[in-house]
Amino acid sequence: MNISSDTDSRNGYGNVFIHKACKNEAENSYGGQVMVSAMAIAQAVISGLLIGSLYSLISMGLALIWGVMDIVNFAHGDFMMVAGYLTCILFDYAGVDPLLSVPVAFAVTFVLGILTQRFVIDRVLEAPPVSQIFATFALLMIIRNTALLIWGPKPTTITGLWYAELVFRPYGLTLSLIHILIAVICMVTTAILYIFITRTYTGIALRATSQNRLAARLLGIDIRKMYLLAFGIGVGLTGIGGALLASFYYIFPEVGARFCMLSFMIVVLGGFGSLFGALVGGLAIGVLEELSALLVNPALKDAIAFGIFILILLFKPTGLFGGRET
Amino acid sequence: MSEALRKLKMELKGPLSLILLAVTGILITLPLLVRNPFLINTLMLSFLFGFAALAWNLMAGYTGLLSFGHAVFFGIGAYTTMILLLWWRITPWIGMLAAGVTAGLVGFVIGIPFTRLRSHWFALGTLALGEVVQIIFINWRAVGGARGLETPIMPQCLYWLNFVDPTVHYYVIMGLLGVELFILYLIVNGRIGYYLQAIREDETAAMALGINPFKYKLISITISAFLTGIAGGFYTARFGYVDPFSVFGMMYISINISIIGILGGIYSLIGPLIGALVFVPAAEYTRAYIGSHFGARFYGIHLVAFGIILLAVCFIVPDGIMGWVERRGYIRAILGHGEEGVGGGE
Amino acid sequence: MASKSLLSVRGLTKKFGGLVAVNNVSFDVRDGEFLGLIGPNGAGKTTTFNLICGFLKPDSGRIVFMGKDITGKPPHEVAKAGIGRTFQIVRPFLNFTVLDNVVAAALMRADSVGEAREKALKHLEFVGLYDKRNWKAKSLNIAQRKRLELAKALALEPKLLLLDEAVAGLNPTEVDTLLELLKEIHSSGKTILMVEHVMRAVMSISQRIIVLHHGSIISEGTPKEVANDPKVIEAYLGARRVM
Repeated sequence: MNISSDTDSRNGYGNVFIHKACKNEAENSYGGQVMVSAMAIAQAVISGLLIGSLYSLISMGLALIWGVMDIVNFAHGDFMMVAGYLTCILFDYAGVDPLLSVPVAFAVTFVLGILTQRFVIDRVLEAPPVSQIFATFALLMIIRNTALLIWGPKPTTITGLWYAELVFRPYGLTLSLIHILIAVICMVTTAILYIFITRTYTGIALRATSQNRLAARLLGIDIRKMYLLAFGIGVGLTGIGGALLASFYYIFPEVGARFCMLSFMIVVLGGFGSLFGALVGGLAIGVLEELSALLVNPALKDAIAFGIFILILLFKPTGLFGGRET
Repeated sequence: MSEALRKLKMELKGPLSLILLAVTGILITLPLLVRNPFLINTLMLSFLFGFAALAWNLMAGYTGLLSFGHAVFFGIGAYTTMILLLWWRITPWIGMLAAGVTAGLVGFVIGIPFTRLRSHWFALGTLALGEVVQIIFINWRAVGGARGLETPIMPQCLYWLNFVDPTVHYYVIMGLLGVELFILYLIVNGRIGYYLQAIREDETAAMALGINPFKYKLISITISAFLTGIAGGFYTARFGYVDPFSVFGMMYISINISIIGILGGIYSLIGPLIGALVFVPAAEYTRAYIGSHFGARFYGIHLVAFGIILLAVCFIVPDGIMGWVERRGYIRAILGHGEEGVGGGE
Repeated sequence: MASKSLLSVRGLTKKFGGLVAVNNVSFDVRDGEFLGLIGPNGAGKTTTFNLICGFLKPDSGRIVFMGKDITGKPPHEVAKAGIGRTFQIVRPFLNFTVLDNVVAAALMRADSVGEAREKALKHLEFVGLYDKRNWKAKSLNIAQRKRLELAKALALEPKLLLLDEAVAGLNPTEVDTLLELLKEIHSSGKTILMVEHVMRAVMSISQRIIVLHHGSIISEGTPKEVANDPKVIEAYLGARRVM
């Protein structure tokens, strides 16, 4: 009877990230029973920061799109999924290391983003919110189910990376090399982004557009190009996230859903349009997630995350750093 | 209320009543003429989703509150009916009513904080809420957890509303639909209808007219939740099995309902019903066709198609099928008299 | 003839960050009068307006209407108390018909939709939009929309009518037509407070004028008195010497 039961978001893959690369029993407490040591908490915080950098990246993309274009893109996570699959394919057929695929992932997703903006988003920018919401949701359905058609519902992942199991153990903590590399790439990307939007003309133009569209136009800035750029870069950032994700996690058609919700939450937390807020928010959520998996029933992890999201929406919709509400 | 009744009587005097009669006549006699359980089942399903979509549209189309979390009300209704049946042997007839009341209460409670959110945030918030509730029920072993609940072996009779054949359920949901349409008609043509739509059009201007947006949004949410809960209760009565993935499912319930609503046209009363009568049979038949001819490999192709249709609707006919029909003037031609009232002629 | 005070504003203050938009403003609106509120751009007219109507909350001060304290009350309660307002940029319900726009307003003073409809038709007739009652509001031009806005405010059956730049954007003929309408409304017994920028309009129709500048009242009196007040001239034109 189910019309689309396979595409329901199951909670089966909501495992703590750290489990795949690092088997540390201290993580597996179900709240109350095991005594949580300071070491375990420190571990959770470190892991949270590492994973949080990935969240930040994706959220900054969303914040950029939101800030410049004032549109909520429900399909944001699905571009990440596409990049993830692309990375897996490159690895399977060409042996390209996922971390090296990052620029490719960015480029491809960037182009996809520009096409999407040009042919879909542009048409509904002036439409009432109902149409905007449904249009991006339709996009979500198309992308996600096309992926389902092509690759099937079973998760795929990259195995056999020579450095997959490498871990460092400083001071009794466990840090996996992959996570560190991912965090480094995220930081580098963030730095590049920062330089771009503060030192280049285009980047400054982008910021100007996000602050005051009319004034930007009066200054001779081509708004349409800004939109294309913002969407392209914003989505490209998630593409990088997808490539990074493929290196240590599973890729399946629904994977975008979770990250999409998370990134929305982070952007709201950090204040819409604020890239810095998204950065900080991402790290914070990463830590929060690891801590709550440690201290509370992991199965409820997502529920807690969503619950916090709702609370933020209700009580502080302008976020920690944002100034502008809708 | 009397004004709305007066308007209804006036509209029924025209050719509309003949069409209504004809259509209702066909629908009523259909199971007797055509012995096709799949068709009856599909129509029953269409009515069910139409029922829920009509309820959803009171919020979305009339008040401007776009909800992607209506599965919450549906699921709570379904579980309420199931629990009353399973634990206390209470007939689904009462169970459905209880489902509505429970869902309505939940809607009221949720509505109090949620009415403060505006368009995008409201949609996002309801989306998140739907996920939270689903996760809670997946982990709530007392009500079945991930495995859900199943009705016990019951005799097939009207008291338990338990039949394998879909015919009785078909008639029941049709009857419920008729009642719901009547209730909604009275609401939207009365004071509440005016106020809700004013809020949708321009909340600030509405406030200047003495309309309390909080109060009326809350009314809208509560009624919508109540009706959706009844739909959930019916689901239990028909399928005899509830689990968090189906009744609280975002794709299966929440998104389905919204697609149906926007496809049919959110700015008209019967739009969502039309959307259901188009969408659900299409979904069921393509799924069956593709399933039997191509196997599971092509699962999802109809969802891609739906996505494309949704996109097309957003681009070309944002007010859905009914919006398109109305702009063509067919409605006015059929009805004969000039359409007065909200959204009326030029 | 001592006219009693319908609306009394005392010590009204509103700050936006460091900017003091309305600075300790006090005035009365007398029952039955036609009061004009003018001032150069940024003087705080619309802010004062929105403070009275409940769309903004004052930082300090009191607003008393017909003996009731309405300071800080939400807009719908202010409307119910008997104050009707129009908006500077008109806000019709675009997808409603003209008639339904007014019905939505008239419902506040009616027990049923039917009664509201009858009242609405009368108000439409008064402003001259009766023949367009089945048009969608979005088909109206700006002058017609302003009249629709007026009809909606009147349908609230207010004791005090607040007009926010009612004639802005209209050509001289349209301005005159609207002013005639306002005169009729006034003579039927309604008290009117009009915030206005178009000098010709407000000076010709008001009985009394209050002048705001930088958030404070700098002058008060009949139109003639205010027009000749050097402080007012200075506020609008800069230093006197320029002339």
